[in-house]
Amino acid sequence: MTDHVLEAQSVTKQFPPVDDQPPTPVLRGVSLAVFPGEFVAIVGPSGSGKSTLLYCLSGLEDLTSGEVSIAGRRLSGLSRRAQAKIRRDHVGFIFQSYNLIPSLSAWENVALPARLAKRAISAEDVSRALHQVSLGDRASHKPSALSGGQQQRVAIARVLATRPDIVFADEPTGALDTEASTQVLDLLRDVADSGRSVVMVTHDLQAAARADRVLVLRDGAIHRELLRPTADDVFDALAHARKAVA
Amino acid sequence: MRRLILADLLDNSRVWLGVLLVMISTALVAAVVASDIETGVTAGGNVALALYAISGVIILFSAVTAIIVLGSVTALAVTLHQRAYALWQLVGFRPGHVRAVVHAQVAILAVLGSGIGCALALPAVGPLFRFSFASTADFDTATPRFGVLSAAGVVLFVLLLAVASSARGARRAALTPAIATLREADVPRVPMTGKRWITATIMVGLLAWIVSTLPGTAVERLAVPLMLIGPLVAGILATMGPLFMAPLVRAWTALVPTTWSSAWYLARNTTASHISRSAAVINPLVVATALAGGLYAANDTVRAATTDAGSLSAGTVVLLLGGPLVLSLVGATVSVFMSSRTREREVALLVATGATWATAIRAAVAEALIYVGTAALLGVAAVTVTRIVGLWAAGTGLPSTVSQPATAVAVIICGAALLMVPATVIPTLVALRRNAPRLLTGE
Repeated sequence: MTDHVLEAQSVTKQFPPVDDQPPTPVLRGVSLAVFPGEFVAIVGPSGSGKSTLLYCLSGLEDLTSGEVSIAGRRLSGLSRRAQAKIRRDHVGFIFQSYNLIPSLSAWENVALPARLAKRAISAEDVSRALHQVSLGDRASHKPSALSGGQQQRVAIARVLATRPDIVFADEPTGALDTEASTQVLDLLRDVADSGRSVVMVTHDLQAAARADRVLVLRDGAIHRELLRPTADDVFDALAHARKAVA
Repeated sequence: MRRLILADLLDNSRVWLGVLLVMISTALVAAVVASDIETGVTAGGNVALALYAISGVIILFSAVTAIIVLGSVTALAVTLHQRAYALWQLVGFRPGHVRAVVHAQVAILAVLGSGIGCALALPAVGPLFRFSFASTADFDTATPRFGVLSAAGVVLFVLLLAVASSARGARRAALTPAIATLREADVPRVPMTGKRWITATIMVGLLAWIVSTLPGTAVERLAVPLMLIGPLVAGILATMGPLFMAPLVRAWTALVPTTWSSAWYLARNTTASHISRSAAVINPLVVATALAGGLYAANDTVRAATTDAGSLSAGTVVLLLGGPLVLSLVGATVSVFMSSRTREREVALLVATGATWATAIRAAVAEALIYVGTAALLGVAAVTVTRIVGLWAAGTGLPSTVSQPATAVAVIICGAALLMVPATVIPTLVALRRNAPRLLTGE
């Protein structure tokens, strides 16, 4: 039995060579662990490999080498079907955009993971999740009738309804205004406080400062680790990382 | 402007290639008709009279089919381009410019497609003519022709048809509200516009006129007017699609309980929600079903009422329906292919949400079956109208068998399913192999 929900060991990722150029290394031996109820933010200069790391950790992107385990199950060597089952049972996603299936209503999007997993989910659970994100009155709306912030909140309602062990969020506030960003970050904080883990990639210092732990990535490796930092701490660490890159 | 037209054609090659394929198919069909007319002019006498009559029917079938297919495909191309048109307006293009660009793009493809279609028709018209008229007296001496003048006529016909068919799409592109479309994450639903009402009213009037001329007509002369009823009903259904298509899809697909299959549930929502995209696939299939079923229903009616009427020969069926059927099926397949970029992101999102590959592929198969099933329902309705009107006009009782129209409809539906399943599954397989994060982050 393991006490962490996510563990990565010596993760490397290279993008294949293009036009006689050598392969591009993106991640260089990243190791980390995320514990239940922990909110981890990943920050770094542009091109430092933040999003790639998130997708490698979640199993959406194949690793070049290394090992990732979610809820104690190693992802490498698993069939696509088994990986899909792990995602269904343990993982939730929130992307910067394109979070929702356009043909389904907000209610149907929230219930979708349970339906795909053939898991019972009550109408009350779905409605409660939508009410938690203050969208109970938008349940029948299609994504195209919702604002960007509302779509993000539906994605969070999906996470709340299906209760995955870990939530991966890629720039969840990247396309939102300040008020919508604050709402989304409050909800993510609530998710972590309820015992589930959140791993979030962001370039927003205020957003990162809401996390329990901030990992500063530089050149595909963890450059610094900050515990319960302020926005100023994150700013200084990022500035240092940028200077080192320059 | 010239650079923008060409750059957009190249950048969105998947969409415009689909339009080009439909143009080529239209030109091929038109070339066969043009060849028949030119052959008739050269041969003269009875051969000419017979060829003019046959060409008239084929022109009518082909024109109805081409207008529906080209209209659907160009409208789909414009719909898939709405964001680009919105961006053009944001950087300073006036609505008139956008309309001009769309017309220019369609015209370029029409000229290119009809040129390719004519080149492909050159070696085909001779053998097709001999096959179609193998059992017809006097035709063995006629030499099939397809000269420069006929080719020029084909290019002009396709060009006019394409520009006319794309007028609605071009106007919609020009009227695209920039901000609204940039926010729009989905293909917008086509409304039941005034022009649609007018077109439908004209077609209903034409149908009523044809039906009103039938009483008193000699039974052996009923076949041709009856043959026109199926395509006309298909045209009316296609025009009035925005009123009933989505509820119809939702209604009949509800026969499979959503708890039985996640794949069916996803496909049902996709087809009903993206109804403009679905209609572009369904309408050509309805036309194909109505043409084939209607031809046999008309012939069956005449056969039941007279003793000397023969059954349709393979050559006659190929001559009358070959072109329109090919055009319809190409149109439907191409419509699925054109919108496959939208499919990629949805597949990626499904995978991220925990769907297995098998679920995504089953959903693609279900989507194809829903297209074909909806087309079958509407096509059978068109054939049934032909049948009922035929029985009324001929004054005969119910026929002892409906095997020929039913077989024709079944063949078209099965053929459509064979085309549609790979058309939805192959892009899904491609999407499954693509990098999901990159699709979802819009990189």
